[in-house]
Amino acid sequence: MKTIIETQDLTRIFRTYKKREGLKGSVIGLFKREYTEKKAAYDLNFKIEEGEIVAFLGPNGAGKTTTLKMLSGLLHPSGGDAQVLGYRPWKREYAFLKQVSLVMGQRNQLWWDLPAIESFNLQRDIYEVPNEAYRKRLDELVELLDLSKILNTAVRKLSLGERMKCEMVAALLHRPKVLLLDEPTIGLDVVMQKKIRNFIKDYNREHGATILLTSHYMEDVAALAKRALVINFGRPVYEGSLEALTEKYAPNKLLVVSFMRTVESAELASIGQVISNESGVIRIQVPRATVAERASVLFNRFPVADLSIEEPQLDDIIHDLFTDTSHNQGEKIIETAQPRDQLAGIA
Amino acid sequence: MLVNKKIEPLTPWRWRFVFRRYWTLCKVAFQERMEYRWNVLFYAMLALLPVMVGIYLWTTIFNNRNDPQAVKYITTYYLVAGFLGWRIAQYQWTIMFEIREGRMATGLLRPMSYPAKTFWFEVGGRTWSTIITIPVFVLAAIFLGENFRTPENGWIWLLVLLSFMLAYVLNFFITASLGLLTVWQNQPEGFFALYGFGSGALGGTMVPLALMPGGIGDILQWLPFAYIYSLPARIFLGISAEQLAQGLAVQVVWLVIAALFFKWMWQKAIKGFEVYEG
Repeated sequence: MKTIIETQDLTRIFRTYKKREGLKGSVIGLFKREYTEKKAAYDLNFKIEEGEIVAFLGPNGAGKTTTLKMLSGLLHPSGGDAQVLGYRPWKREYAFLKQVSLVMGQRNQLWWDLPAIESFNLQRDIYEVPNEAYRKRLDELVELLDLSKILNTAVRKLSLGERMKCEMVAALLHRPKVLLLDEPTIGLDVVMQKKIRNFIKDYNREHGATILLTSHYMEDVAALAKRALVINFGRPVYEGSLEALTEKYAPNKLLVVSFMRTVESAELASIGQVISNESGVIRIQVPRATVAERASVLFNRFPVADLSIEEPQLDDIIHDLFTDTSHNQGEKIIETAQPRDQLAGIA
Repeated sequence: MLVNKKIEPLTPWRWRFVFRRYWTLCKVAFQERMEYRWNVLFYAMLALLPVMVGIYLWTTIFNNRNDPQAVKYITTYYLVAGFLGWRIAQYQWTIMFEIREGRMATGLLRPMSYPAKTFWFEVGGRTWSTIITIPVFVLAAIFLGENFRTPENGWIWLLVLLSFMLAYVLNFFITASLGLLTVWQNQPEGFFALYGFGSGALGGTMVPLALMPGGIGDILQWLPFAYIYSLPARIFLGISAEQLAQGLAVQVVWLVIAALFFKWMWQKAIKGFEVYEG
């Protein structure tokens, strides 16, 4: 596998003006200003191989967008180095820019007052896509995203979902080898989120594009990525497979059970911790390693009508990871093929 | 870390794309402005108002002095300088909004020159608004009758066009440099408005430099503003070959200076923009 994105101690520090409180502070600020430095990204080291979809996770302000901006070429790093497709992104060489796309869910690159087709035509000329290839790609993308009816409607009159789909088309017309997606499904309803997710997955499968994705919607992450990079306070806290992340940060699983008679929560204390008991469906949290054993006990002791075993929600896992104070201080975990007890030792 | 150094040569095939890219940009801007045709028309009427006020003011003054030639000169000067001055784009506003609204970031990530894109996009938009503005000013010229005079020699029209194009590019470099100040100054509107009004006044849109008191006009004729706002109108009215050659030469010198200044500002602003953007 070829490495497409590689960073070495990638760091970005921002210097921001700290305003003193009140009118007096404003007056003092006219003559003397205090600045603070914020490490938006700090010592980031990671590699992404060709064709991978990697989720880039972290709470608000963790440094995800700053990192994407550095990798797309918008920001110079304050320290460290990075290469994307063999280029230093911030040199913004045209040969590099032609192979990369940055899609930011909250930023619009289409011409607001014109139909999307005009923006697509402009993209064709900016990225030097030959007419025949352009027509073919546009037809494909329009069909995949079901855009034929809105191509000639002014962008300002489109819904958020329709606009996002058009943004995706504009970003992909030149067939980028690297796709940097910053919250591509933000603000969309669940149906549209799913459409965009499927589209990204198809694009990755058909063209072998390397994709780095940030999203606060864990459905996006779970559906698209096999590997995750997690950062907090600008520092890396986890790098590895989503599976290992789940195992590491979700030591428990859920037994979702319904009974043929009424069973009180207290009766189930020996099985595990009852999380909820609603409409006859009881959720019991049990240690991951004892799931089979506890399920068996449940069957033997109680009149079980139905039983299923569920993984905890990825949202909860990520939440636990962010709130773990040791990781807030920047201790990094690298997922390896080691057994879980050894991994626990690393953490 | 190995870094790819491959540079694509500009072959005739690629030049074709470069031309097509800017042509498409102009067309997109043209179409975008067409969406707001009434707005453009009202702006054209707004441009005519101060011109007509100036014409009537100076006509009154010169009529009192019983100087019909001066009336014809001032009428033509105001109408031509007013029209061409209105066609000069104030790029500082465009760049300010692009920086604030994040469109400059989008532009920087495209494989094309951001300043060139900004320049040609506005040229496309201005082409449409010029089409709307011409009838408004032509009607005004017809209304002013014999006091508006046109050059008899067709070459004069071409020289006016050449001088206007140089003025447009010169003003682009100056106002684009100003626009880049937004990177460091969050609220530059006051300064931009002062420049917009001040440069016009110093360039002779309110009072022709020749009519300014004392030695003020002599000083102002060496500043770039005169070569943005009044030189094309002076050529339209007819100047000597020597004055023409000198005027165009000074215009080109200012253009080179402004271009170098813009290049320097651009390099500084790109670094500053990264802080702004972050």
